[in-house]
Amino acid sequence: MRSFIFFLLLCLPLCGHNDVTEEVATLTEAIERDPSAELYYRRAVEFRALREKGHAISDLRVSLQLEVSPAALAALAELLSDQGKNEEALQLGERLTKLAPAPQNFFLLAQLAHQAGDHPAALRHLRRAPQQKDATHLLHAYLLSESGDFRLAAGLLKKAHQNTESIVLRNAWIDAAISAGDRDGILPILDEEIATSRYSASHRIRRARLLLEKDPKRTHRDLALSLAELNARIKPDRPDLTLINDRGLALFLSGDRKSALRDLRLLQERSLPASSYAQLSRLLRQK
Amino acid sequence: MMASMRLFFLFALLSLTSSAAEFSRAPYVQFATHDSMRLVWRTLSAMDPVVKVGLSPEALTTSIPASQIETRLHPTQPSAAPLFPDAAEETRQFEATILGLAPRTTYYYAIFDGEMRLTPEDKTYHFVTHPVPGSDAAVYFWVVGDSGTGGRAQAQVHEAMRAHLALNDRKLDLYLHVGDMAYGSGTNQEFSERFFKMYEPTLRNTVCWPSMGNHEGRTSKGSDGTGPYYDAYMLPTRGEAGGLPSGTEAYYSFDYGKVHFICLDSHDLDRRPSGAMAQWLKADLEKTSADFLVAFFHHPPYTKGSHDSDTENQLIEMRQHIMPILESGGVDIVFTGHSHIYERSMLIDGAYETPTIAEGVVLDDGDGNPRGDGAYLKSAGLQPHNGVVQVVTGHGGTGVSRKGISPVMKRIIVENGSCLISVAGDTLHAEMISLHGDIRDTFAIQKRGKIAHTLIIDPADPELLDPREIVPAPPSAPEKVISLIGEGAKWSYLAGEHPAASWVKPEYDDSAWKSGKAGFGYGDEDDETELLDMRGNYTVVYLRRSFLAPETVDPKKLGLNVSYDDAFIAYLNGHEVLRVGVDHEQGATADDFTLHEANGQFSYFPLRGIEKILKPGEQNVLTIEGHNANIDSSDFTLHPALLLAE
Repeated sequence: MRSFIFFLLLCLPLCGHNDVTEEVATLTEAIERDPSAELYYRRAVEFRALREKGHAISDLRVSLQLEVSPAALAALAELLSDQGKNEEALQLGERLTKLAPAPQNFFLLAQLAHQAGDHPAALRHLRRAPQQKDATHLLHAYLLSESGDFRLAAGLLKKAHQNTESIVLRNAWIDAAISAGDRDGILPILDEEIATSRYSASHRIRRARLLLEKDPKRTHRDLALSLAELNARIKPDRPDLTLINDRGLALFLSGDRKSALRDLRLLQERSLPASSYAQLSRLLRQK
Repeated sequence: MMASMRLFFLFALLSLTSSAAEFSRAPYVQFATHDSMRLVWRTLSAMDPVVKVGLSPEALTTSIPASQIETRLHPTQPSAAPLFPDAAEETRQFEATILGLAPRTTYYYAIFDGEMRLTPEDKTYHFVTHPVPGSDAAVYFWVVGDSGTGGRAQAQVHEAMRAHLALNDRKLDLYLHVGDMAYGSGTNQEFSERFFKMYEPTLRNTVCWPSMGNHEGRTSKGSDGTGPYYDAYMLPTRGEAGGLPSGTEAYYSFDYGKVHFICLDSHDLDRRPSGAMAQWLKADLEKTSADFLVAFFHHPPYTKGSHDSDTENQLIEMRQHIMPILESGGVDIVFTGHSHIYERSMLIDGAYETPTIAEGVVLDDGDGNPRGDGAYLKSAGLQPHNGVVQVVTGHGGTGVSRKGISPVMKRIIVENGSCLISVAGDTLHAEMISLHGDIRDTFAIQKRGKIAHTLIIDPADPELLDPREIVPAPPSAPEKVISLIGEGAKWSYLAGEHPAASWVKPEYDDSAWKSGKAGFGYGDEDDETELLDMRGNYTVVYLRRSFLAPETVDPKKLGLNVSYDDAFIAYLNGHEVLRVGVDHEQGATADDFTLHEANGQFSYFPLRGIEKILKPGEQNVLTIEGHNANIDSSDFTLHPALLLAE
C-alpha cells in the first residue's frame, strides 16, 4: 500500500507539461526551496530523458538517502547496469526485491544478472518474474539457448505463444526449434509465411536453416532471393539494423563468412544487446 | 378509486425512473473490425445491461446476449478484470461485444437498464463496421494530440472539426489520438472529464484508436497493460483487426481497406531494434500488403516545438531505432504529438542523425499541396525508403510554443488545431484545421507507377506561421458603439473566496456578494473598487452583472472592452465566450497564465459564436473571473465594458 501511495505521489503533475529542460529548472527551484526524495527522483527522471545519466545517478543517490523507494532503486540499478557497474547494480536489485518482492522487480533483477553475465542467477530470478510477459519468456529462452538448451527454449516459447499469439514469440519459437533440430510442423508455417508475406527474407532464411542439408537447391534459391530483397531494403549508409542481422545470417548460410562477420561487427558497434544478434553470433562461433 | 390507481402508476413510474442507472462515462465505440464492434460505458450504480442493435434507429431488432457483455468493477469488488484502483468504488464498466456484423455497414444501437432505455432515441448513436481488410474503400480520419486539458482550446479544436464535417457533409471513419489525452496523470477521473466528456458526441459513433502519451504513462504501464488508459481502450492483441498479433495492447496494428495503421508505444517500452516492439514492427511490416502505411505514436522523431528531438532520449531513440524500420518497410506518414505545436515535414528519408539536419535527407522540398508545388509523389504500393511525411500534431488543446526550427519541416504553425486525413485510391490528402476552423496547411501524397527520387542538395527553409507573432494586439473598440455595460458600471463581485460551480449561471443567487464599480484591483492607481487585501492572499476575483440585449441586436457586433492584468475568462448566460491569458481550467484550478500589464489601456475582444447564447430582448448575465498570475504581484486590474457596435 505504501508503495502504491508513493507511486501516486510520483504521478502528481508537479510541473504541468513543460519542456524537459524547463522541468529540470522548475524542479531545481523546488529542491532549493524544500528538498525531498520525490523531487530528486523526479529530476533524475528528467535528467535521464535528457541523456544526462551522471546527473540522474547523483539525484537518485540523494533521493535514496532521503527516503528509500522501489522506483528510485530500480532506476538507479538500471542506470548503473547501463554503465557496466554491474556489482552495485545487482546489489540495488537485490535490495529492491527485498523491499518490494513484486514480479516485475524480479524481472529487473534477472536482467541485471544477465547483464552481469551471471546467467544461472538470471534464470533463478526469472522464475519469480511475471509469467504472462513476452519479455520474460524471450529473456528466459535466450538464456536457455546460450547454454545450448534449445529444445527447452523452444518448448517454453511455443507454450508462451499459445497464450498470447504474439508473433515475436512465434518467430522466436521457430528459431529455437530449428536450432534444436526439431522440424515438426515448422516447414508448413514457413511455406505459408513465404507465400503470404510482402517481404519474405526472414522466413526464407529460417527455411534455409531448416533445409540446409536436406534440400541444397531450394536453400540456395531462398538465400539468393533473401539477399536480393534485403539489399534492396537496406540503406547502405543508414541501415535498418534488424535487416542487417537477417543479411548476416543469409550471408553466413550462403558461405560468405567474411561478409557475415562484417554485419555482426556493425551490430556490435551500434551497442545493441547481444540477444539481438545471438543467432548470428552463435553461427559465426561455429567452425 | 381511479384517481388512486393513477397515483399508484405515477408513483411506480417515478420510482422506476429514479432507479434507472445513469452514465458516468457515456457510451463509446471501440475495437472496430469488419464484422464486430464493442460498446463501452460506465455507471456508478448496478444495472441490468441490455444492448440492442439494428439497421435502422426504429428497428433495433437484435439483443446482444448477456454472455457478450462483460462487467468490470473496482478491485474491492469481485470481477474477472478489475479496474485500476483510482476509479470510484461504485464504478461499473460495461463492455459489450457485438459479433456477426456485415462489413462497412451502419448499425444503430441503444443501451437499456433492463426495460429502461438509457440512450436517447437519437440516430447519432450508431457505428459503421470497417471494410474487409485489403478491399477498396476510402477512409477519412481525424488526428489529434496533446489535447487533454478539458479547457476552451480543446473544445474549440473539437468544435472546429465537427463544424468542418457538417459544412462539407462528411463523416469520420475513425479517429487517431497520439497521446496526452488526459492531463495531468491520465487518471480515471481525468479520462472521464477531459477526454470522454469532451469528445462524447464524436466517440459515441467513431472509434478512437489511441497511442499512450507520457501523461497517461504516469498511471498506466505499457509493460503490463494496466492503468486507466488500458481500462478505457479495447485494442487488438491477436491481429483481430488486421496486422499481426502483438500479444499486447501497448502496440498494435489494424487495417482499414488498403490502409495499414501501426500504433507504437514510444513512452515506456524498449525502443531498441532488439526489443519486442521493434521485432513485432519488423514482422508486421513484412506481412502487410496495404497500399498506404500510417504510423502513429507519442514522441516525435523531429521537433523543435515545446520539446527538442535533438536532446530528449525517447525522441532520439524513436528516430534512430524505429524510423529505419518504418522506412525500410515503406511508411508513408507518421503522426506524433508530445511537442505542443503543428510541424509538418517535407518528403524525407533516412534522417536518423543527431542533431537532425536537412542535407542528404530531403526527397522533395515542395509544399506537397496539389494546388501549390504539387502532391508528393511516391511509387505505388509500399516501397522502402521512398519518402515519408512527418506530422507533429501536438496542438490539440494545450498551450502551443516553439523553441526553434526543425530543418526537415515544411510548415511550422504555432496554433491549436488538428488534422483531417483522407485516403482514396492512390492519394492521401491531409489538412490541418485550426481551432478557428481555418485550413492552415494542405498536402497530399500520390502513389503511382515507379518513382525514383533524387536527393535535394540544398532544400528550402521551413515556413513558419505563428499567429501569436503576426496577429497584432487586440483591436481597439469600434468608433461608434452603444455601451450595454459601460466603463465604471456597478457589478456584483466576490473576492477572497471561490463560488460554487454554478456561479456563471444566470439563475445563480449573488445577493450575498459585494457590489462595486469597475475597475477592480490594486497597486496601479486605476481602480475604482480597490481590493486592498488581495496581494499575498488570493488571485481570483469574480464579477456578475445582468444587461438587457436590444430586441434587434446582431450578436456578431458584441464585444468586450477590457483593461486587465493579468488574465480573465468571460461567460455569457453560463457559457464560456472568451478566455484571455488562461491556458487551462477555470476558477480555483485555473492554470498556465500569460502575464499582461493593463497600463491604463483597454483591449477590445469581439465575442464570437454567441448567436445561440445571447437572448435578444431579454435580460442576459455576463460573468467574468479575473486572474492574477502571481499571488504576490504588485498590481491587479479588471475593468470590463460590454459594447455593441452600431
